[in-house]
Amino acid sequence: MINAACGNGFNSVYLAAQGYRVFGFDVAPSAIARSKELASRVGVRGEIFTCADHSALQAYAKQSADVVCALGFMRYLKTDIRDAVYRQVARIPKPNGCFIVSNDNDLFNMFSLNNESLAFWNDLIIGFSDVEQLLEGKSLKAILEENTKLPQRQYSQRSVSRHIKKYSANPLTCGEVMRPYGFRLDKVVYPDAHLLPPFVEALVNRDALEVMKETTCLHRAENDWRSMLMGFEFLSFLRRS
Amino acid sequence: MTQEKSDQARIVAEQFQKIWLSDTSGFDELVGKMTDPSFVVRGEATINLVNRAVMTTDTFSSTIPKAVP
Repeated sequence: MINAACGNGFNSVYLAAQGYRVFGFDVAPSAIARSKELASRVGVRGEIFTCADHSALQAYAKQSADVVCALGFMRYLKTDIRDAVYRQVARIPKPNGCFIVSNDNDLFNMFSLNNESLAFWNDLIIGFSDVEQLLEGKSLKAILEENTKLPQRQYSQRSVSRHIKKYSANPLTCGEVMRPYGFRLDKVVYPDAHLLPPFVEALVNRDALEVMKETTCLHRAENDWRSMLMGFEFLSFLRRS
Repeated sequence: MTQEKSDQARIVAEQFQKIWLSDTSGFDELVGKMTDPSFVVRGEATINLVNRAVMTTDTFSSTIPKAVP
């Protein structure tokens, strides 16, 4: 398994300790330092981790891995780099090998009920037809903002997204998007649903909400259509055709 | 590479460098969850990381052979 953007390496080390052959890379030297520390603690070889950006994928040979995993990675990559990464990843899995990738969920913008919801509806409506021509010179976005009072999205202290433009995808079309790269979609799951729109979450007891989330999300992740709207991220399990 | 691209990549690298300086969460929680599904993970960010890892690991272990020692 190749784990792109492996972070502090906890998932890679866990799988390596289970007997799988794993390689991880991350762009942050601190991530690789934490990964190697954990590997040492658990008795896994630290050499499985390398400090590198997405270009590290070029070094892996064609059909050299059963699984490529990219979690929390694609959201930071611009469209042209995403395309390059998908092309690189497509070379690596063995026939019927797996690509597990997470993306931020476009559809979550419907549920979040904040300024990003308006941007979502604006893009959806004007992307679907020329109906904006009927608005007599006003932009749909301006009309939506004038007539809809929604809060601004709030970012956590830890959020990297507040510093940059983020990229998202639509779980309903991800199979189509990945087909030209030679992947077929096995399933989509939603590992972490917001149980309430984020601005309402801020009004309730944080600890109680966390416990409820933790005990709910995995059960709802795969077989409950509501997760499609409430999950801010989705995981696609793809097979190499 | 354009300036815009390099800025985005630089900022992402800098932010994650800060995050991973001190964040060692995930492993003990993943072990806990894989050992006992009723184990409760705490922390908003950790819940997401561990849930992703649980789902990945479940799929992984049901479809991929382990390496030959």
